[in-house]
Amino acid sequence: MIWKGIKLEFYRAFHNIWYVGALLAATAIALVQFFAMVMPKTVAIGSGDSIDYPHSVFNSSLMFCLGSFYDEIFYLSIILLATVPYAASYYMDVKEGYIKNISTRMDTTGYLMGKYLAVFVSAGSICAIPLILNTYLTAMVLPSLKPEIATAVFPVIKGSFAQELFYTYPYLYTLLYIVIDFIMAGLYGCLALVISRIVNNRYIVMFFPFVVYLVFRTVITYTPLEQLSPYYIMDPQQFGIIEEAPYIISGMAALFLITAAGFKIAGGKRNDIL
Amino acid sequence: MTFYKKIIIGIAALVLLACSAYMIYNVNSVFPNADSKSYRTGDVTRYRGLKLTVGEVGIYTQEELEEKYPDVKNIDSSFQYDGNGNYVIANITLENDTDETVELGKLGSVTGWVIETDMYGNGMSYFTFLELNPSYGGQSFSKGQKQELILPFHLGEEWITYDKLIQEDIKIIYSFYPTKAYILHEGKSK
Repeated sequence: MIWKGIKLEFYRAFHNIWYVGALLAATAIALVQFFAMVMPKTVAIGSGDSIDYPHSVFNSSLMFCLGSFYDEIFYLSIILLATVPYAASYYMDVKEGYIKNISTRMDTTGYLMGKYLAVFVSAGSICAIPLILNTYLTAMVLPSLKPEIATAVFPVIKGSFAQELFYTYPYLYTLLYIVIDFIMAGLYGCLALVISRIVNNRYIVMFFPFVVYLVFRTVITYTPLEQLSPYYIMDPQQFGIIEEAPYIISGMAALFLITAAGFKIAGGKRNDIL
Repeated sequence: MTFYKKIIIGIAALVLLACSAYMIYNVNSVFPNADSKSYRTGDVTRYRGLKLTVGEVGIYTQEELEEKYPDVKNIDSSFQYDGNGNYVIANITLENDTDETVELGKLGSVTGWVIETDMYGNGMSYFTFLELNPSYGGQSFSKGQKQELILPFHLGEEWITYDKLIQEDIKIIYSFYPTKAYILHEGKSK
C-alpha cells in the first residue's frame, strides 16, 4: 500500500504541465549558454601555440565557465524553477480535500512518503537534467581535456573541495556536483511541505523555498559560516570561496532534518483528517 | 502511446545517441590529452628552435634569495616582489645553434613559463625576472647567440609552506599542448 502511494505521487509530479514548463525554462538557460559561449569556441578550439591550452569541456560548460553570467543566472533561479511545479501540491491537496479521498483509499503513510519523495525528485531533476544536457552537448563539440592547474583557465583552486578529483577524474567531479545540486534543489523543494499546513496561501508556499534560499544565501555570507551558503555548496566552480566537505555535508544534513522533521511535525500523519 | 510510436521514438533516440557518441569520439581523437615530457638538471632539449640546456633549480626563502641575488632589493616595493613567501629559481641556457635568427614570437618569451607544484600554479615573477636578467633581449635570438637566464617564481606562504615545497615535485612548464613539457625538480619525499 505504501508503494501504491509513492507510485501515485510520482505519476502526479511528472505528468504535470508545470513540471514540463519549469524543466523547459531551466533547459533554456543551459541551451542559451551552450550556443552563446560554447559554440563560438569551436571555431578555434586551440590557438596552435604550445603555451596555450585548448578549450575543454571543463572550462567551457555551464558548470565550469569561470564566473559567467549564465551559471550565475542558473544557480540563482534554479530553486524557484525547481519548486514551482510540485512543491505546493500538498497544500493544494489539503485545501481541495483531495487528501480526504486518499485517506479512505490507501495508507496515508504511503501518500506522505510519496509526497516527500516526489517533491524531492521532481525538484532535483529540474536542476540536474539541464546540467547533464549542457555537459553532454559541450562534450560533443569540445574535447574532454584534463584540467591543468597551472594554465589558470580552470576553476577549482588549491584547497577546494575535491580539487584532486577535478584534476584527475573531472567527469567524476562533474557527477559529484550534479548529485549535490540534485539533493540541494530537492531538499529546498521539500521546504514548502513544512509550511503547507501553516499558511493559507498557495503562492507563499510555492515561493517560500526560493525566499529562504535568497535570504539565507545573502545573510550567511556576512558570518564566519559563509561556507554553508547554499549557493557556494551548489556551485561546482567554488568561485570566491573554498568549500570544505564538512560544511557541504552538514548543510545538506541540516536541510534534510528540517524538511523531514518539519513535514512530520507541522503536517503529515499527525493531522490526518478522517 | 501506440506500439509503433514507441518503436519510432526508440529508433530516433538510438540514432541520436550514435551520432552524439561519434561526435564525442571524433573531437577527442582530434584533440587527445597531452603527452608529458620532463627534463632535469643537465638535460638538453629544444625550445622553439633554440637549444635549451636545463641548469640548477633551487628553492629559496625571501632572505636566501636576497643574499644570493642582492639585485632584487632594487625592485620598487610597489611591485610587491617581496610578498611573504618562497622562491623557486631555475637556471637555463638558451642558444641559437641554427644558421638563422630565431624569433620566439609574442607567446614564446620565457616570461610566459609557469610553475606547478602541490596542486597549485603560478606565473613567473616578471619584475624579479627583469632585475635578474638585465640583458635579456626578449623575442629574438641571432645566429650563435647564447643566453643564460635565471627564472624566478614566487609562491606565497598561504598557498604552500617552505617545508611542503621542498617535499613536493616542482614543474616549470614551458609547453602545455600537444605536449606538456617541463623542467622537473623532484621533491625530497620521492
